[in-house]
Amino acid sequence: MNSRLPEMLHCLNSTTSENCEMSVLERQRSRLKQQEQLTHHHPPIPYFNGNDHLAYSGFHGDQALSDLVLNGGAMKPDPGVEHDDFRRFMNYGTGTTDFQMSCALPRTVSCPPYVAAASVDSAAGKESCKKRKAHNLKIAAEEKKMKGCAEEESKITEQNSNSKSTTTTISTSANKNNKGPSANAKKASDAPKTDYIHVRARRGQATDSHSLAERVRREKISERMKYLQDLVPGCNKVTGKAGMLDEIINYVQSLQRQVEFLSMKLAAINPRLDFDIENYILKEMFPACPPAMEPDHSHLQFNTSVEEVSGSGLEMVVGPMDATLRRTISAPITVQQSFLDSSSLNQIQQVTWEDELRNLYSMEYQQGRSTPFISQQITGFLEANHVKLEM
Amino acid sequence: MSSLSQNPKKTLLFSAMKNPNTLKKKLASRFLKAMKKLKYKMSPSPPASIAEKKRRHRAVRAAAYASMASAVGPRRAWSRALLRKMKGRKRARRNPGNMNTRFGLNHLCDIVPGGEAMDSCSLLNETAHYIKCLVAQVQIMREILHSSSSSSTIL
Repeated sequence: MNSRLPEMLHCLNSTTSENCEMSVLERQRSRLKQQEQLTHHHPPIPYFNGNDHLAYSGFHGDQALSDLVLNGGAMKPDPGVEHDDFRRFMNYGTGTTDFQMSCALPRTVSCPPYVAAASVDSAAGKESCKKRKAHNLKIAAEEKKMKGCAEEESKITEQNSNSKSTTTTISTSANKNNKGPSANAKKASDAPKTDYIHVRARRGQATDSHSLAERVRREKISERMKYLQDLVPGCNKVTGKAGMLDEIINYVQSLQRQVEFLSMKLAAINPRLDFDIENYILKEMFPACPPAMEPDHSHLQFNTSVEEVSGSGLEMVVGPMDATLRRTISAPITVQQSFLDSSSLNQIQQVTWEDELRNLYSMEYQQGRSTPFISQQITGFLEANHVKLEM
Repeated sequence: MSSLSQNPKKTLLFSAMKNPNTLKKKLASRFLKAMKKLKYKMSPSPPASIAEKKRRHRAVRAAAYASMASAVGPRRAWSRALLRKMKGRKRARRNPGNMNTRFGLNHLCDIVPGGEAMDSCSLLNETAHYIKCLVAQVQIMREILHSSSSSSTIL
């Protein structure tokens, strides 16, 4: 999920079962017990319990090459993957329990495990499937390939991690979570550390580096899409990426149009506007007054001076407070009170464009009484607005 | 009805108390300063001609976007691209290599500033941040408008 860079992995579930010697099995069981003692709070390792058949993973070479990342939430531990050194160096339990993060537990293995594994492979491989045989034959070639990949990725990871923790995560939240596992990793591995991040393939998935990279990319994109889905209202109902993208595009465009429209209105009003910026910023610094107090506050300010009203109105309080403000304002002008009230009632919930337009109309209507010249200007301007909006 | 509309306000206020440097606050102060500067430039009378109206509209819009970009700072690609565009420099070249891998993002990268030169992952990231900032900007402008309209009814 969060692990960024594709890597190698254990792949396939190889199916060598009959050939395993009991000694190996017993050794591993004893190790399992040891590990359970170490990590009491973790549930027993799921794949190992009922598993009498030991299956060795196909890729021992890559284990010798580098470390292993458990990609926590998304992938279950692969029942086919089993290795001695696997558990010696890493605290498997932390990897499985910390679902949310991708923890990278560095495991550095020197060459011998590969040799030993290869020998076991060759012993066990006779009755195994064709894939397996082919794999044994090609093991050297694949190791070369992997080395190439690993070098490539080490270049990438070097930018991100300074080899203290082998975990490279881009998102900061994941970084926070990674402290625990990386501390574990320090304990677990005394051997020199490597800078690789592994993505594990589930069974049946392709394991070449390109498709792994593509899979990681797709995961990232879908993660972002989920985040965007939370941001954009009404996006939850839409299914499918194309529909969601359409929705997002529409939303961004509508926001941009709103900015346009509001700036137009502000440009029309601007000259008559007195920004009491000092007052506003002062209030921004002390936003301690609870929202319930706001209406009284505004009333008081309204009674003292008009400029104070503009300052208080600039605060993050809209809705009911605004409505009350408007009502108090409209009190002296008794003629249009009903009209104003209706417009202010409309504004209580959420101010849509139409409401704002109506508000502007009402304002213009009022000013029509006092200064006809200005009202003419504004109506002309409003018509321009309409034209622009319909476009 | 009032409780409904006050709930988001409460959360907003609480978040503002927790974090004094919210994006919205930065945005608001910058935008107001920009508007104040604009006010000095403009004549006190309402706009007379269409050209004058257009000029003012453009100035206010530029102030809005510039305050958005400067409040975010240079750490976001879209704000950098926005400022670059506003300063009138050359637009970033379209990256042809990314285009064929995109699925439906072509429209999106036209809309989000600086989206031409992004891969799809970072484009979605930037879009999310851009949406947040736009929403905050729209809220601020609305509040200014409300306050100004309520004060101007008295005048």
